[in-house]
Amino acid sequence: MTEKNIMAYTRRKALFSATLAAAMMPLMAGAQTSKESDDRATRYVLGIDGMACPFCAFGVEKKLNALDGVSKLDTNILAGTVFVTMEPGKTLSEKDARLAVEEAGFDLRDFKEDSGAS
Amino acid sequence: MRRFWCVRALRLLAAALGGCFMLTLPLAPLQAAPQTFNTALPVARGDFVFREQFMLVKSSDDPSSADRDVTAWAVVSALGYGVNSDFALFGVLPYVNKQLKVTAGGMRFTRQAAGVGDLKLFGRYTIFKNNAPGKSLRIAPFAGIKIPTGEHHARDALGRLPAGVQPGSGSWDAFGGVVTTYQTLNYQIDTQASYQVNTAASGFEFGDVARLDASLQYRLWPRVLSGGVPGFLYGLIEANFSHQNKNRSGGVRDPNSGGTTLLLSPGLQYVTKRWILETTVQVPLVQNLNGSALKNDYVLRAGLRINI
Repeated sequence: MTEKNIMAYTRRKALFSATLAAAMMPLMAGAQTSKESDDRATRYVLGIDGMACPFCAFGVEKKLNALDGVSKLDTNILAGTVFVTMEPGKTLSEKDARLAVEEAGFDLRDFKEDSGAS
Repeated sequence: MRRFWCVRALRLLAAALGGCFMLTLPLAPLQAAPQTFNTALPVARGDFVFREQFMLVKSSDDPSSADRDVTAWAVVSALGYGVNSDFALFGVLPYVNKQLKVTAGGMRFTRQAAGVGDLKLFGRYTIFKNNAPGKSLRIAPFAGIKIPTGEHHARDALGRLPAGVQPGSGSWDAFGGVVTTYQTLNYQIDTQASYQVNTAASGFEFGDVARLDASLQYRLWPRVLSGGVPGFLYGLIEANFSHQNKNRSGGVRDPNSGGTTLLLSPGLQYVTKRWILETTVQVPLVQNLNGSALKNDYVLRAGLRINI
């Protein structure tokens, strides 16, 4: 095998490897994105009407805590909001949130996924 | 000789205590919050609210020569259960200790009884609610019965104790009313109108009672809310108006019972998510009582509420 042939073979091998890597990159990246998604906890912001004292907040928190997948609650009584952090891979439906809030005797004003969640 | 004096003393006492047998002690069981009456705030579905309240009642302003002096205390346990977000059931059971001191024939006697009082069971249904950010308005009628679980035939060496000193009334009574609560982050206003129909037991019947109550709670601390759910310290002032009809004994109205009172109740309340500590003292502003019915000096209350 001449030096010229060796160089051509090496170029083809490098080109094949690069092509293969380029082809695999999106798949690997996609797998990585999916794994990060599983590890990220989804957070929701619930606006609650009628919650005007600490003793009332307990009932709301107790009902929300009983929902499947809820891992943490942060209540702001001044804003009338409860931030609901879910366990990784779990989600909260507006229907379940509304039912929990109403069982505590209050009304669900807003329901949205918190885009600032990490 | 000694026996003679005992018998004479008993006769004198029986005569002097004519009014005392009709004595109505001001020991009405509480129902829930704010401090002396109910509230329309919700009990979450399937949840319990427990309340324990200590009461001390002092009455000593007797216009008669009997110089009656009543000291009574009670530990009142109340449990509320949320059937759903609008309908709640409550049970209230007091343990009472009542002591009457009276002068008769130049001698001072003490009569006393203690034990479980009458159980009150009632339901409260929210017929109107308007929730908004940081505020709530609710109107809730309630109705219930008083079950004669307390003893009403207690005796001492002088015979059967007066009806007002008995731990229980012996009668099945019905009551009802409506309570309204307007709550904001800064203050809360409660009002209640209620009526209790009393029936006879063992020939004695307490007069029916009509009540009007109002309460204002104002957040003293923290002055400024920032975030989270801090504990609230409320200053509160309550006004408690009541009118009681005359009692009946053997079908005859007792002229020395019943009347109208207006009590003012300043107090403090510390509220967290899980529990509430509270205390208040009720002092009389107006007491238009019939005949020689015994007036209130004060009622001291201190209690704890727990979300379960």
